[in-house]
Amino acid sequence: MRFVVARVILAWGAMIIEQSRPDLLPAGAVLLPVVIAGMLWNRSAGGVVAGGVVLILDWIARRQGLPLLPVVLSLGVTLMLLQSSSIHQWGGRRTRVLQTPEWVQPSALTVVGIGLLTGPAIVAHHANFLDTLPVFGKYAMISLPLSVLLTVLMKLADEFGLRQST
Amino acid sequence: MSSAHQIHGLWTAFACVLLMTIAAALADRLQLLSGVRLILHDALSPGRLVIAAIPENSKHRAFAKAKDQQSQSYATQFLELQQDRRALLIENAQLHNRLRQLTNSKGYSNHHPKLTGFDLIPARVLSRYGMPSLLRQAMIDAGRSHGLTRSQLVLDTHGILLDRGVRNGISEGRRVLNGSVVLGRIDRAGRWVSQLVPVTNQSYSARIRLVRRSARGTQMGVEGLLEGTGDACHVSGVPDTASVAIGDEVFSADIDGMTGPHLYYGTVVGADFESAAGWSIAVKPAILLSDVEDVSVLVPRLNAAHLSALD
Repeated sequence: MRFVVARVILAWGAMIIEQSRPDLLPAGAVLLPVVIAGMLWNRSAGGVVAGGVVLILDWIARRQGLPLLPVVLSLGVTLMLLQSSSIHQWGGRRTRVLQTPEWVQPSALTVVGIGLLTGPAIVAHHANFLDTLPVFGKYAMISLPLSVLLTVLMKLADEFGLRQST
Repeated sequence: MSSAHQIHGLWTAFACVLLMTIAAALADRLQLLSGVRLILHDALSPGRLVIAAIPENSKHRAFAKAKDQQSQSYATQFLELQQDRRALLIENAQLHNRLRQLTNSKGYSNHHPKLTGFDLIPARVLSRYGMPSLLRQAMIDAGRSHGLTRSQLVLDTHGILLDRGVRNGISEGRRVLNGSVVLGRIDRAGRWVSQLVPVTNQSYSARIRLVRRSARGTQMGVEGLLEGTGDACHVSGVPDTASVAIGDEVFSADIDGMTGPHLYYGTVVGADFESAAGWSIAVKPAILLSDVEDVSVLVPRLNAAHLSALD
């Protein structure tokens, strides 16, 4: 229960911060790594659903294009968790599609998420690839460091036994 | 939890998310989410207001700082513009003056330039009690090294001494002023210093004109001769037919016989009618020499523009 409350508060706080200072924080730049970390924290189906719900609510609050982010991120997290599950099951033999180290997973998902966040705006403005780089960089400057920080926290929580699978 | 069960749960969770997303997209297409959107924004509002209130101060400070910098910049620009304006005014006056001179020199104007003008040479009261012995010795030594004779140094003075001399263009008989008020005249001019005779000195005399200020305006009166009496001045030579009153102003009639600016002497403080010799008028000098430190010496000069026009 406390994890659910913590996730709700974190997601709520991230959305508030983003909406309070849209001049400093692009929409989704903070929420994205927080949601990804929340999805991966307990390695459970509940985390995936909770993260998906938060992303859907964020899309409802700030609708932009199609709601691809909840679907793609949920799929990515599901595949990564399945990979981890397969490793545990078969003693480290990796048989799944997404064979990425665990500490890279949040950052990789964040990059994918940034692409999905910036994509609709770029398509709407018919911008070329070079024009998209500053927008992508603006997101990446905030989301990627935050994602790395949360990954470190997850690793530390793993080491201290605070991160348990449910 | 077994691994197969976990895998099943994960795929189920993804399916749930997928279905919810599709439902949300369809609901949005059907305009059913406006109420939910409103609820979401209401839920975010309290925290958003708190966050917004915090940076508002910093934003306000930044705005105030920017405004201060802007106002300072405007003030600096204003001062610079004022300086530019003054410089342009001076340049404009100089150009006007130059144009007038050029026009006069080419004979395009009927205005006849004056042959003479007056220069003011600034001076400072060096001593009120004659030549100090230390200064006398210093001047003798300096004069000796410069090949000057004793008479060129004005060493035996007992009156007021000015720190300007022949070297500065000062010569004997020149009026000494403070503003436009006559303080006296140069009695002896040395190489570096000059001796001043105040208007109250008995050896001082000058032609003056009485001027009366009334409600009807300024009225020029008769001329007379102003002489020092020791502590004040006395005007004589005013005919008995003239009208004289206490409070009349005393101005110079000429400057060493030349017409020039009307210099001020003082105010009539007493006027006695003497049938035989006309009026006996007492004048109080406008400024006492004990009150001033900086003076000017009025020196006549020939007008260069007039001379060039003659050439």
